[in-house]
Amino acid sequence: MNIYFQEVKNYFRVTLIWIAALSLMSFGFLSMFGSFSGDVENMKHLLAGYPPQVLSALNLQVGIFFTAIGFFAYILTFIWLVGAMQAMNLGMGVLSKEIAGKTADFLLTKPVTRFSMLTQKLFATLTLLVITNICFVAVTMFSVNMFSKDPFDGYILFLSALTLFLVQLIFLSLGFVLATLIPKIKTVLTYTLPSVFGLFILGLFGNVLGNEEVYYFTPFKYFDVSYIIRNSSYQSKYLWLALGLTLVGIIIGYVAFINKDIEAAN
Amino acid sequence: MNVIETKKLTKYYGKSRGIVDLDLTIEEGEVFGFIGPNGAGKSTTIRTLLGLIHPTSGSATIFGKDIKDFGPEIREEIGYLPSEVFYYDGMKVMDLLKYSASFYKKDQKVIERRIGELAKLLDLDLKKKIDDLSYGNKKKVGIIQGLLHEPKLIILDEPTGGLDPLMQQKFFELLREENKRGATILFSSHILGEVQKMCNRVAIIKEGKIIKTEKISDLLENNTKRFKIEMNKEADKKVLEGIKGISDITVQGKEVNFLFRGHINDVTKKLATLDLLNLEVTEPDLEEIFLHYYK
Repeated sequence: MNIYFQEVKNYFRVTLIWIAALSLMSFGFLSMFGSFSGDVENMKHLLAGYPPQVLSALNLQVGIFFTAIGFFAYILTFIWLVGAMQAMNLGMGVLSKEIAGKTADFLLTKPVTRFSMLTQKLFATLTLLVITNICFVAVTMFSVNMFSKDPFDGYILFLSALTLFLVQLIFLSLGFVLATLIPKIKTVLTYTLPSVFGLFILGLFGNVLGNEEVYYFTPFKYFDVSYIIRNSSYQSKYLWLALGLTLVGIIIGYVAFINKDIEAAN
Repeated sequence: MNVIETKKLTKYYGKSRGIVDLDLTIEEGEVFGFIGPNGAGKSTTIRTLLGLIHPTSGSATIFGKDIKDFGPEIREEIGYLPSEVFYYDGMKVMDLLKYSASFYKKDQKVIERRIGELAKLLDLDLKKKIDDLSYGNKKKVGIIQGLLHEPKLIILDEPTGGLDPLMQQKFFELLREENKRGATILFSSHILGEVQKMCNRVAIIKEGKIIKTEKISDLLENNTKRFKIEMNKEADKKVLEGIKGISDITVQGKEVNFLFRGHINDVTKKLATLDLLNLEVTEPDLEEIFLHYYK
C-alpha cells in the first residue's frame, strides 16, 4: 500500500486546488440564480430573440433554465470540462512519469509486481476523485439550498451533481490508457488539453447539428439533466457506455503496461 | 550456487538485435565485470534481468528462481544502481529513501540506521530536496537507495559517473565491504580501470554476444607484454632470433620494440646475454585487451 499512500500524498495539494475551482464555480454560479430568477419574464423574452441554433449550442433549454436545478444544469457542462481536465491529468500523470523511463528504474526494480503498482496508483487517483466529488456534491447541495427560493428534488440534484464523477471516470481511464500507449510523454497537458476540448467541441457540434449519433463519441453528452429531471435516473445506454468505456480503458492500460519494455531514460 | 544464470537469453527489438543467445553464469560472492561499448547489449542484459525488459527467448534465473515467475521475490534481494538517476519532484532525500525502504520486508529500523551510515560515509545531507542536489549528490542518493536493504546481489550500471575521485574511492570501498559481507556484484562499466580494480571475472560483450568470459588475472597474465629495449650499439632484429612467442619486432637505431606472449624465462635468458642500456616492459591494461578483442 506504500505506492497508494505516496501517490495520494503526491497529488493531494493539486487536488485541493481543483476542488476549490469546482466548488467556486458551483457556488459562484448558483449565487447568481437568486438575483437572476427575479426577472424571469424579461429573460424569457430576451432568450426568445436568439436563434434556436445558438440556444442549442449553448445548451440552453428554456423550459428548465429557470429552476435551480435547470440553472445548475447549464453550468454543469463547464464543470464537466474542468473536472475532465483534472481526471485526465491525474490518470495520465500518475503513470506517464514511470513510463517515460525515468522513475520506472526506481520503482519497477523494487519488489513489486506491475499489476500491484498499477492497482495502487489507480486506487490513489480514484480516492482523490471521490474526495473531489464529495466536496463538490456537498457544496452544490448547500448552494442550491441557499439560493433557490422554490423547493427542489434533492435526489435529482444529487444525481445531476454525481454526473461529474461519472464523466471524470471516463477521462481518468482515457488518461490512464493513453499513458501506457504513448511512448514518451513530456508534458501531460499536450495530450489532455486537446483531448478534453476536442471532445467538448464535438458535443457542441452534435447540439447544433441535432445529430444524436455524435453523442456516443463524447462523454460530455452522456448525461442530460432534463432527462434526469423527467426520469429521476440516467439514460441507461449512456450509463453503461460510460462505465464500459472506463473499464475497457483500464483493462487495455493494464495489459499494455504489464507487457511493455521499459527502456533506459536518456 | 550460481546467483545469476542465463541460458540463450535473447532480446530483439523488432528486427534489431539487443542481445543474442547470451549465456552468463555469475557465482555467489563474485565481483563480475561486464564490459562493452555503447549498443553492445550491457544495459539490455541488465534491464532484462531486472524485469524492465521482456526477453524474446531464452531464460534466466537469479538465486535459482526464474526471472519471469519470481520477479518481486528476486528483487527483494537486489540492489540496482542505474547510470542515470531520476526521482520524484519535490521530495526530500530522506523521504525518497524511506519510500524506497518501504518496499522491502526487512526491518525498517535497521534499514533507517543503514541509511544514516551510508549518508554519513558519502557525505549526503538527508534533509535536502532532491531537486536542489547536484548531479553527483543525486548519484549518491542512487547509491544509498540501492544498498540500504543490504541486498545479496548488487547490479551497477555505469555507477561512478558524476562522483569526484574521492567519492569514487569511498564508493569502491563500500562495494568491497558489501562483497566481504557476502554480496555478489555485477558491475557494468566503460571505465575499464575500475573494472580491472574491482572485478574477479569479466565478460566482454560485442554486438549482443559475449565474446569472452575470463578471470581478470588470467586475462592480464595470458596476454601480450610489450618490450622496449635499448641496446648499446646499433640494433639488429637477429638478436631475438629463436625465441618462441615474439612478434611485431621493430628496430629504430639502438631501440628494439617487440611483443611477447609465452614463457617469460625464454626472453629474460636471451636479454641477459645482450648489452642493454635500458629495458621497459609494459603490461597491457584492460583497455588494450578490450580493444584487441574489438578489432
